[in-house]
Amino acid sequence: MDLYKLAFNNIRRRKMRSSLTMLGIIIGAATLMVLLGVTAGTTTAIKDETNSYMYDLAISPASTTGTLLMDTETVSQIRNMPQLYDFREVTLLSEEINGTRIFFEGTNIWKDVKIINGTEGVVINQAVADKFGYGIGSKIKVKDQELTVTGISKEVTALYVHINQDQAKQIAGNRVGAIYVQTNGDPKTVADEVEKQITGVSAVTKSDKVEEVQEMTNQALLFMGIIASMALLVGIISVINTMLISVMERTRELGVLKAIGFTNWEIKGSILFESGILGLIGGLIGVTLGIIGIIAIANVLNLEDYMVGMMPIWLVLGIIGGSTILSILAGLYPSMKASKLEVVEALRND
Amino acid sequence: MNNGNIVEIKNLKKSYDDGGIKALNGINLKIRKGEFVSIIGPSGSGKSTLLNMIGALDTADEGSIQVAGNDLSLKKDLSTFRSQKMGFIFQLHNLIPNLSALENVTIPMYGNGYQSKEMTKRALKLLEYVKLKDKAARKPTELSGGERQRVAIARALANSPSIILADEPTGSLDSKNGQMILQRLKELHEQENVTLIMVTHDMKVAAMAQRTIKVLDGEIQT
Repeated sequence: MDLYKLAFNNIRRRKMRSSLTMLGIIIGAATLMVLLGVTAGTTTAIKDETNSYMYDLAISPASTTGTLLMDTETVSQIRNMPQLYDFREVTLLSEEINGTRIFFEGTNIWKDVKIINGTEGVVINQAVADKFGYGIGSKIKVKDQELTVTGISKEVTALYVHINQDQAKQIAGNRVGAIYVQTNGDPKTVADEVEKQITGVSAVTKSDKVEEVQEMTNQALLFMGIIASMALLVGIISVINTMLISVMERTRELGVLKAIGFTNWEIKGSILFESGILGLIGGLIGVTLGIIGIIAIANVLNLEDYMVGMMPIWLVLGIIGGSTILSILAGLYPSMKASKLEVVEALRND
Repeated sequence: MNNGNIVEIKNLKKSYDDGGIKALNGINLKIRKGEFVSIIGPSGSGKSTLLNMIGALDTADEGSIQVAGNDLSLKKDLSTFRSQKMGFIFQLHNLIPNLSALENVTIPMYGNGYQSKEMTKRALKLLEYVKLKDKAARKPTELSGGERQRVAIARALANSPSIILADEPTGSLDSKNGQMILQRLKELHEQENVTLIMVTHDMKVAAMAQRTIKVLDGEIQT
């Protein structure tokens, strides 16, 4: 029997109050886990996707042109530049079907399209299949062409149909949305040369793109972190409140402990231990619920491949450790109050 | 300190409210080792303050107080002193409500060099001494007033103290239970030769002691 068992007993003795206090921490920890986890996971997903493209430059219409497609002349100008080689064209079209906009993306790299059923050619994603009731063999009319669905892919986040790039280009009137190229020489210098020599195009290097994505996701991570930390902070404040009430209620008991020989440090230690336990249990439950939430979200967003990335060990340990340390800090003031109690006064307390 | 005296107090003064209330006004007192002393006086006479001073629960404004060979006015770590030398029995048992009788008796032993098994064994022995071994697992709320006070006696004996201080130990009990507790304390004094200092306002209770000290207006009446 020691002061630490006494601290456990105090938590058990006031089950309802302890649970409500922990609930604040649980909500905060779970929110932090879900928001930061999902943000971290999607950041990895975006980075992976960006990095997977084997290109040095992405050339697309400049935003000032007001168009999303480059004409044949521009494309041939790009193709004639000696600094560029290994061209990969991509055309993205959109078409309204029954009042809903669907995107048609041209591709030559079919391995990136995760086909779950059927074969390459005209592959609708699950979202399109669900929305319009399409299946393999269904006909889709885009511009003046009729496409026959050959496969279904698993992405469900947006309404997408993947078709062969040549077909996409043909539907778009031989126009191209973007050209990914390799460069001879420094990509940044070549990018400047492309923009100088060809009017109405924008050339972005891969590293620029990665930086852009990195900056965007860092901001998202910070923003989410601040919001979720607020939730945890509210939980921590409730620990201060609970421990202060506990010290007030137990004044006489603390007086007895002091009278029978417990030192001020031991009294402080037991209060800090009690608040730390609230934080630790709250953090553990919160993180567990957060992980369950992440699994659910990853399934809904079809990001199962990045699920592990959404639960980095630093985040799990950080939240559990953080909520425990913050709870201990929250117990500091109540513990000091408890240790400063005058024994005689405390024993008189009713 | 003279041989044979476990408590030696010289000109002890204590006041509260910035000197507005003089609780002790120059107390001089000697108590022999193994003596059973009762301190008697009306409410507000200063008897409990005197007991608190001897028990190192409060500090003096003036004068010297030596207990079990320690000058309390010089001692900084009074917690350890209380833990090792003192056993307290309060008017309202003051047991920790969410601990069993056994755990209440064990808790003062914490930090005094006992092994866990040793603590339990000793606590059970003490509960047996106060005839409550069979109720060791019960919480204070599951015990009668007399039983609670007997657990408090067992707790006071946990660290084999030099002195047991009892502040109105029968104050919250009916006469039958009160008598039983007093009998237990008397036996404890006789069998263990422990110094017993008891505060009471009841002359009949005080008469059980070997010596009665009367306190009035913060002074000892001779």
